[in-house]
Amino acid sequence: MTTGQIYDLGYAPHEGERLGRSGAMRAITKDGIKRALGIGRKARSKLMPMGLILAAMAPAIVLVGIAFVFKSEFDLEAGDLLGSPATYFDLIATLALLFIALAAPAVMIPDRRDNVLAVYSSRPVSAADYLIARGGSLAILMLAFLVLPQLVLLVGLAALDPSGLFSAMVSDSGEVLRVFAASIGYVGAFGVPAFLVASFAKRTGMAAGMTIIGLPLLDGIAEALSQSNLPGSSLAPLLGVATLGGAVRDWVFGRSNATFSQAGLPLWTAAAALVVVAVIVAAVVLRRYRREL
Amino acid sequence: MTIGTNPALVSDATIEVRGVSKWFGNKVAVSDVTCSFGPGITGLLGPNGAGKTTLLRMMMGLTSPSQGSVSMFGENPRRAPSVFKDVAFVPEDDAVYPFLTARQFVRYAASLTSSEITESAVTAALDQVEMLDAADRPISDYSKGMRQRTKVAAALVHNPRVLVLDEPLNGTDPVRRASLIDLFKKLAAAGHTIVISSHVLQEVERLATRVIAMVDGKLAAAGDIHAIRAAMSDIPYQVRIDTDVPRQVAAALLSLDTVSGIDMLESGLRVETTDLSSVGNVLPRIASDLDARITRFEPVDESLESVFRYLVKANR
Repeated sequence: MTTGQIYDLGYAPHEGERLGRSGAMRAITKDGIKRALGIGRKARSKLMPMGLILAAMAPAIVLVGIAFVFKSEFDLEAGDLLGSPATYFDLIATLALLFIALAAPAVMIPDRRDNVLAVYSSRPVSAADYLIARGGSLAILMLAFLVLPQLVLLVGLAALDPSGLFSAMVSDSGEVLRVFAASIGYVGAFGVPAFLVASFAKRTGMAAGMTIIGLPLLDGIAEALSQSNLPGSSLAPLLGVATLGGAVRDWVFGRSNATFSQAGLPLWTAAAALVVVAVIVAAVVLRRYRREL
Repeated sequence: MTIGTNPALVSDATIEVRGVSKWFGNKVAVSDVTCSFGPGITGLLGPNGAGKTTLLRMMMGLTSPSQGSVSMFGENPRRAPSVFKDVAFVPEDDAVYPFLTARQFVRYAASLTSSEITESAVTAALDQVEMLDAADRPISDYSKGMRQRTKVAAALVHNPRVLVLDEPLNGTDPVRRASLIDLFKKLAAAGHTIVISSHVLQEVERLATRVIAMVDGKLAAAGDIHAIRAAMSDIPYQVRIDTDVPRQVAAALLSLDTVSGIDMLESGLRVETTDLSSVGNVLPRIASDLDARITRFEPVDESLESVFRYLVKANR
């Protein structure tokens, strides 16, 4: 006689609490960060983002290493090595542009290309929620890209400071805030245009290329216009969106900016221009996604 | 349960569509449709281009009606995304990330709705659609049927009360199709509202007793499939009768006023009648008089296919 038994594998359907918009937005943000960094995907997907992050961190690690080795001989401090944290932005700004130009398409385009927007539409998120979450993941990534190396440098040098880590960090806290504020400027200057391009482009490579080529091109046009005698040419620097990031950085760190000085524009206008750009991009992208979400 | 005499409406509706029209430029995709959906399976039926997908998209808040209104759990789905906590949609398009595995995709879909999705619930959803064996392979390696089942698993993982599926059985093999049909029936029996759109009549016939049929963007019929057939009084029923003496039985049936024609078949007859019960009532007496053996008496055209063909003709 044969016998048989059906085993209970312990599977249970979901009966847990259902989250609202905030839960869904958190999940979309987290997914965006993982996707941009290639987490959970093949090594090839991680190569560029992780390589760029390492390249951005490298100067900080090297400088801390130099300080560690030579500190006792030369009594080095952060300012001796770098001048100001603002200088570090000069080192990594191009890397940040490359990073966000690649990250934005990786986050935005597969949702449309693979028709997955319909999945979001049947979850408790509106088009605005989706865009805030996706844009949020890009902003977090870019802030981390810009701020983390500076933190490594500041904390590393503070740890070597004779006054002790805590005391050195307290005295550097103003610098940390300025680094953070300047980074937000770069998010507006690089991240917002990259987000706009990735919201419309159909292919990831094309979107990255458009951002990498388009932003410097726009800067060049703005520069040429500002040198001309055309009416309103003094406002032309505000069209160079990518250079606005550097202008905001200079404003935050109290440095002068040659382009804005020549045009007779106060540096706060760069921040104001970036806010205007961000609002326009948000409206355009929302209108585009409301058709599908 | 239907409301009053209008079979397009149900009393315990979770989704209500009221006087909805949708046009794209000069093209009217959906025209003044009023219907509702409640617990159980409702088949949304119609040929390609009938407006089914547009109606589903309006129900899911993916597009707004040009006229009329749609509500889900009493709320406008375009203005109250929170209604989707308890809803899932399986679109006709692939709608999966090819670079994820089915398990990763189902887990992500779950995370969009709930904080407490356990690995057990993810596994259960994959198991329900028989995707456990392939769950850890990238979706890019899947057949169309497997991608289809992955979408269904992603829709089921948070145990939604409302499940809307646009052509969910496309590309699935017959065995998996049968098991998905069983799964939908079980969910319906457990009180879930299930709306299944399809242009494959046999599919809907196996799945749903209640149908909403659309032709050219309009509501062509609604309600129980058998009741719809009964309402088509101007076309005769067809009945298959198998007997050992077909010619004699045919001659006897032709004396009835309600019989309009008879086709002789190899092993019986196909009778056209305007009154099915009159043939059924008289057949035992004919069999007795002729000493005939009746081995089959079956209406042969009460299938969705014939109802559907009729509706399309009637609306054009």
